[in-house]
Amino acid sequence: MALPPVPEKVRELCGDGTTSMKEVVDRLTVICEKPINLIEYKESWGALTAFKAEFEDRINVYFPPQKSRHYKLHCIYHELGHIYLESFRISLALPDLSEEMLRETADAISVTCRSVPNHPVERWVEDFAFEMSKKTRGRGSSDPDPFLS
Amino acid sequence: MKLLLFALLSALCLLRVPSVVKVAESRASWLASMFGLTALYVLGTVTPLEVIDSYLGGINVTNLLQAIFALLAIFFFNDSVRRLANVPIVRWTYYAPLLSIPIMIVSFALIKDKAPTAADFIDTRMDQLATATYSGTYMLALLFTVLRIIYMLRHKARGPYATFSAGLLVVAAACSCHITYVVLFHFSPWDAFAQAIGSWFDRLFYVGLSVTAAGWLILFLSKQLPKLRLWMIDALWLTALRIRVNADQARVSPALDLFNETLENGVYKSLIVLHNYQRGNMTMFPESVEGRISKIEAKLDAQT
Repeated sequence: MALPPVPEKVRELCGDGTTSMKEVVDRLTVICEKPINLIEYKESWGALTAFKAEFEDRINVYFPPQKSRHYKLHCIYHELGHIYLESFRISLALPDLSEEMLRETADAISVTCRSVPNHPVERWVEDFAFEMSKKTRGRGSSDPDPFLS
Repeated sequence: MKLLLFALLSALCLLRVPSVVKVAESRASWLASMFGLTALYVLGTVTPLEVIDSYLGGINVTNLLQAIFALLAIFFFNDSVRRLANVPIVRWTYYAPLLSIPIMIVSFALIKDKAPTAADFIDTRMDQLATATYSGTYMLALLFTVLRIIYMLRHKARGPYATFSAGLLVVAAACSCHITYVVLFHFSPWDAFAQAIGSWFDRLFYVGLSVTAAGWLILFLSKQLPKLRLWMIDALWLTALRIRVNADQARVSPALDLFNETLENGVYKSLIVLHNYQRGNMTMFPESVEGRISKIEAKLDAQT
């Protein structure tokens, strides 16, 4: 499984300059042809940091309330990285539940799973989040990222 | 002493490798320092000139290699300054200095009686047209590139760049002296006058290079010291915390992140790793540690 270089893909998505999360979400919405909703979800999260759920007509990214704004943005960018990577439509051997598995477990009270640790896809999206942080932190103080304020 | 200095410069070049791999913009300056370092080595600063040259046939090929490496160093240095000054590539001025390399190789090959190895290889064979062509082409290419760098920095001639540009002007004067020497010695009867002008090359060249290096150091420190003062303590503290709690669970030491691109990015990465650790282990740091992390995050916010 050959994944494309992260800096190259980030440049394709956001260009050479700086960007904001709003711009990134807008561009991904166009690429995926579905609205992307960022939802702060206050229930119990355990060790989870964020997750995304794709529906027929939308994609929702859920994240917990965080004291740290940087960490909150980072976790969201991680999930946006998943959305972006999946838009390349390359065979990824994703550590996700397949459609069949989702149907099978539709009535389940809880689902746990085990995937290969340190999966390349997880590394890719984490690198994506780090790259995005550089591009958003590069903004001047007069133009702070207003998205989650 | 020379060996120690060379080892120090080599270590600095190696330490920059991680950032060079990730940041395309820093590659030109890194290549310039690598070629400069190689040119210094071939000059006989570490291993005696005779020893290096003996491996290459004992016919002063080291002289040619030193010239080529020095030219490549100044070529990539020029590219680095071009990026700094946001000057677009003008193809003929950009690549022209490289055209001198094949001319130098051919004219060097045509020099007669190239053995034995000698530091004054050029001066003792200046009566040959091939030597004049070889040495003159090298100096012309060097002069052209140095003048181009000075021209690109013309709008920044004041402040910290002034020392830098002044040093380059002295290097340009040294190159001009050598070109005058080559032309007069070979094409006029005033050999003694030509040699008198030529003798200024070494003095001016090394004074110019020293002033340029001092200018570079002033520039480097004026840009890096405020950042170092702002982030160094936090970066070290966060790295120590990552090591203490084994937040990375990786064989590679988190200390390597201190050399990863900028200190600010290293601080950011440490913060994310520590938050991941807290989430993954459902744990909280003591209040004092949490307080310090929050302060660092607030500082990071203030920078963006």
